[in-house]
Amino acid sequence: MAGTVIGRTIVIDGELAGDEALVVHGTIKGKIEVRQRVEVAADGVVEAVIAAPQVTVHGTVVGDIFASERADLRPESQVIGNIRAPRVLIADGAAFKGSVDMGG
Amino acid sequence: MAIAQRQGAPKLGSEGISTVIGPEIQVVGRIEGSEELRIQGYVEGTIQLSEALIVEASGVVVADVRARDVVIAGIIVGDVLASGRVVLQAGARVVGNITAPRVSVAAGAALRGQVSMGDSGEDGPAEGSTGGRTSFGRWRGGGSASGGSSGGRAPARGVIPKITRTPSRSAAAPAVQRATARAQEREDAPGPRIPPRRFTREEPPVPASPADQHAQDEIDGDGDVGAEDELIEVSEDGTVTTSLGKKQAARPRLPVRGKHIVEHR
Repeated sequence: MAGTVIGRTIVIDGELAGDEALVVHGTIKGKIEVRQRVEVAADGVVEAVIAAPQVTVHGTVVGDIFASERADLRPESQVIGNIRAPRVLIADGAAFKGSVDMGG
Repeated sequence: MAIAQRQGAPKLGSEGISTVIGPEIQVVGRIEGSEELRIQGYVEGTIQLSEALIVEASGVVVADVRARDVVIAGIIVGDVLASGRVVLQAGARVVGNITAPRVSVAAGAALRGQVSMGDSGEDGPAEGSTGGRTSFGRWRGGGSASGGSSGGRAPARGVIPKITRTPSRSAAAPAVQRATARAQEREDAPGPRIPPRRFTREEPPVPASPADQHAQDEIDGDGDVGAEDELIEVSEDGTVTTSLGKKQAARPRLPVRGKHIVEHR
C-alpha cells in the first residue's frame, strides 16, 4: 500500500510535499509536489497543481498537472487544466479540458 | 497504540481506507475530516477531525489540533483540544496546552503547557485566547474561587429585579441608581479577594511558521525543549521532574510559564 493515503472525508487546504507515493480519496486544495507517483482515486478531488513523476487520475482534478514521466487520465476521470508530460494517456471516457504539452 | 488500533479497526473494515500522512510527506495548511488520521510525517497548520488523530513516533505536528481523541507518540507543538481523550505515550513530546475530559501521560513522555481536564473540550477553549483563559481559570480556580465569584454575582441579580418592580419608576430612579451602585459594589467586592490570575504568559499558543520550525528543531536536537523553557519529564519510574534545573536555579523563579496542573478526577 502506498505510503500516504488521504481518506475520503479528509480535506487538506494547503501544500503537500514529500518523497512518497500518494493516493487521494479525499480533497486537496492548493499544491501537491511529491517525488513519487500520485494517484487521484475515483472519489478523490484535487483542486491543485500536481507536480510528480507519475500522475494517475481516476477522479477529478482541477489544476495543472506536471508529470516528469507520465500522466494517465483513466476512464471516468475529469480533468480541467493543462498537462505537461512526456507521455500522456487519455483513456476513452475521460473528460479533459485544457492543453497538453508533450514536448518534454 | 492499542487504543488507536481498537478505534481504527472497525473503520478500516467498513471503508477500507484510512488516512495516513506518511513519514516522507510534509503538509502545510489546514486538514479537516471525519475519519481517523494517522500522521507519520510533518504537518503544519491546523487539524480538525471528528475522529481520532494519531501522531506516530515519527510524526511531527506543528499545529493546533482539534479532534475527538488524540494519541501522541511523536511531537506536537500547538494546542490540543479533544472532546474525548488525549494520550501521551512514551516518547511523546508536546509543547502546548491540552484540553480534554481525559488526559493521560505515560512514563517517558514530555509536556510543556497547561492541562485542563473535566472540560468537555467543546465549549470554546480554542476560540480566542481570552476564552481559553477564562475556561482554564475556571478549572484552576477550584472550589473557593469559583464559589466566590458566583456568590458575588447572585445577590446582584436578586437586587435589580426587586428595584425595577417598585411602583413609581421616576421616584425610584435615584434609589435605583443607589441600589445598582451598591449592587455594583457588591459585585466588585469579591474581585480583590480572588487574586488576579497570573496569566502574564503571553506567548502565542502556536508561534508563526519560522518559529515553528525553530521550535521543532529544538525538540529534535537533543530532546530538550528550549534552554529557558521548563519541561516536565515523566521518568520511567513514574516520578515527575522538571528540567528547570541547576543551571537556572539562581534565577528568581518567575511564575512558571504555563502552570502544569494535572488534575485527576
